[in-house]
Amino acid sequence: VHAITSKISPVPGSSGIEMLETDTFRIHCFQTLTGTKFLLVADPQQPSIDHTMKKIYEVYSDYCVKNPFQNPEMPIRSEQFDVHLLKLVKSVGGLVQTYGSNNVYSNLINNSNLTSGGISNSGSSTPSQTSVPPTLPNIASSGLELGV
Amino acid sequence: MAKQYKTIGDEIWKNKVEKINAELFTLTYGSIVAQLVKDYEDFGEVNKQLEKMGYNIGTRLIEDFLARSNVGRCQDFRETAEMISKVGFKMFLNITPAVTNISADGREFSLVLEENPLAEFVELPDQAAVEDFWYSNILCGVLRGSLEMVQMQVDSFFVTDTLRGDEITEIRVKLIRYLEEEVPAGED
Repeated sequence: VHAITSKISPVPGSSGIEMLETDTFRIHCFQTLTGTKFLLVADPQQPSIDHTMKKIYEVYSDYCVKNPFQNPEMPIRSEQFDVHLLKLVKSVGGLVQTYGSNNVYSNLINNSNLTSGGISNSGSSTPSQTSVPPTLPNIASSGLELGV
Repeated sequence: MAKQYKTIGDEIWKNKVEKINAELFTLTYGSIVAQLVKDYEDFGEVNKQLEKMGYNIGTRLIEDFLARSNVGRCQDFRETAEMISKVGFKMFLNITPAVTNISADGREFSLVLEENPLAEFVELPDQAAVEDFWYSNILCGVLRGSLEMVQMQVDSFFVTDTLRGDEITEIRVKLIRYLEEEVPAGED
């Protein structure tokens, strides 16, 4: 996504998509200096998104990155991460949509621009193949919806 | 500019970082090194393993560093050096090594550690003094791993170490190249 959007950007030197806005929702994209991208679906009126994004980054860096058994390229399967993320979202006054099962569907779109686990001589990047999140049902519900 | 980093580093250390007992830390690291020495019996190999471990730590550490310090991208390698010494080392080890010997093209620098929490109370065995053994080599790996995650390929190695009887402890960091983001064909 980033490669495409940085090419079609009207402003030169763009770093890719930051926000996508429609009538009913906004998608925010927060990119870290390491290439990890966080996508957040929110209500257009939701305030202080930047602050929330930073907090999400902190939760991620605590419960995903610091877990030695969590491979950075793999989908995130961490109960602690889910729990703390839910807490954070609730504290910002949002509702969390659950999809299907009782667990919050977590598919963090993780697109690092380096091959992980060592220096690759070819220097090419391999973005992880992540599945597209299911079509978000009924986004018109107010509040913050975390479609990670 | 340097003063600003120092303030950032101090502030993070004071407020945003959980602290542990220093002895526990020194003992834990010491037992890792001792076990590696026992397992591999070759100091060169131990150096390599320590560097590898450091690399794995570094790739994860950088996320914590960025999440807590909230700093933006450095403009040049000099700034990176200052950031590492005043904010990075301060945040994780509560020390501020001096940045010295910056090369003319600005692609190399040295970090001189006045104190090294990893190596407190440590004395190297005689055999280690003969061979090239760097007790704190994990730090070199950490530097390499964390910088690689922010698109810099570097080479980092010990030049001197007070544990080996040298005057100072110095780590040299060389920038090999910046890693540009590349998209494999067919992504579009």
